[in-house]
Amino acid sequence: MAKGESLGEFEYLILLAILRLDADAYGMRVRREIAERTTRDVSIGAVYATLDRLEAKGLVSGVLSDPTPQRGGRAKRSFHLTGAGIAAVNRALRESQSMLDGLALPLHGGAQ
Amino acid sequence: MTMTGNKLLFTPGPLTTSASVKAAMLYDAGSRDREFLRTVSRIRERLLAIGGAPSPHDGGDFECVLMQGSGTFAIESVISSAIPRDGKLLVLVNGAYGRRIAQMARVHGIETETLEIPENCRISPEAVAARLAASRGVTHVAVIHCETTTGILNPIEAIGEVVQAAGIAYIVDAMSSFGAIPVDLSAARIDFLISSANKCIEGVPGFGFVLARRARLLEAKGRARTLSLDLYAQWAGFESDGQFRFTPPTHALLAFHQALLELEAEGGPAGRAARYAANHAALLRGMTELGFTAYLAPDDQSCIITTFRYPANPQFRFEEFYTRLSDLGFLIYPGKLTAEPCFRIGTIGRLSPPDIEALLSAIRQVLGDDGVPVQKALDTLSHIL
Repeated sequence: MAKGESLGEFEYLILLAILRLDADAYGMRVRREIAERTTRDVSIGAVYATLDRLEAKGLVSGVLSDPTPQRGGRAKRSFHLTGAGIAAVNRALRESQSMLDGLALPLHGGAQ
Repeated sequence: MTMTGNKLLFTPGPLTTSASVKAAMLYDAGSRDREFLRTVSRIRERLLAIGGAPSPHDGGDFECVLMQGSGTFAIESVISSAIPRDGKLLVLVNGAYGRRIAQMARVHGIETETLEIPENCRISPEAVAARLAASRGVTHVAVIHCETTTGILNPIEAIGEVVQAAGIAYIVDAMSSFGAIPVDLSAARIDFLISSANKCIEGVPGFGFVLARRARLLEAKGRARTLSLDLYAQWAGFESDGQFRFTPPTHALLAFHQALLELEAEGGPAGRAARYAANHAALLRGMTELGFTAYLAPDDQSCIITTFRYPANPQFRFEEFYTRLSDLGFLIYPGKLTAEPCFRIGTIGRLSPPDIEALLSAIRQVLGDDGVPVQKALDTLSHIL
């Protein structure tokens, strides 16, 4: 990944959500996964915008399934991580672990 | 002035746009080029998301149809395509844009009635319910969200509840509000929402768009009264090959895609609403200090555009006021009320509170540049103007 293109926090969450959802990684599922696990209010627009950006960076790839009657005749688009996406997640994890190493966590005294 | 000098637009649109939105138009896109079609597809998906609707490829019930022309063209595409030959439209009117919808329906020979409300009053859901109970055969109801005539905001969610309960299709003209006033298509029971590129999403003129409930859109097949504004056919065209049926406004679309990215970066409609609210508050405070009075009650006023009454002095000439502000680089907007002389100042577009302060300084300069104190100037406007 080029300099200045490190993962943003929300991008990282989206990549992790896609990994968790595996074959079910559709936009709405990604949104729900993040909302439920982080208790954040996540807009579908923010999810789509970030998926677009991750796709443009080559970190995820969207695939349209065949349309089925169960889906109202519409194809559904699911996402998976590319090799570069997997490498980006591994790098972010390493960096995070390295920065956390040796700290006494969780911290006390912060706002609740 | 030459067109190389940018004036600040305090209007309902076209609006002041960012440099990056303008820069996005420095490219020539092929209307069938793969990359361009991808941009069009993203625009359609993003617009649905602004309305809180998932993509059709993500289980969503709404579709986005882009339509060349101004916002009025997009409204006319809905009115002339969605209502069947034996249908009947009820238009809720509290300003010029509601009247325009009724006018276009009548041009198309659609049976139309109006519920007329004074321009300084919001349309109440109770009034709509009473009219629907008294009327026969209404199949569609149309309302303006932010009536730009005054800047008043109609309660589209509450009205939607009444309309849906009556089993009637619901058309919302959200021309001046979409992108800055959060709306949830499903929660508001909207069947057709219409807006345009050059409003609160801060793109440039060239096209409008319709967010349509798929079931209602499918019903529109074969109902169109025109060729070029056929809403269903336009959607079917996008679905078959991703293309516009007729020449797309390529540069406006590239600019709009950039504008959508900037809306997202600002925090979506809620973030944009916060900036517009700050603009509106600064304007109202400053204009009040200058002795002007707003036409609407504060509770009815949106942060989109504000209508101000002419000063009491009968010698006030809006044309002179407008021209002198324009000479200083600030464009405001004439009034459109039927009953009272007024003018309007918009607070949308790529404007922030410092721009509002600059406008207020210019107004002070225009009103007081002969050395008369500002407060006194309003009383002696004939002398100044």
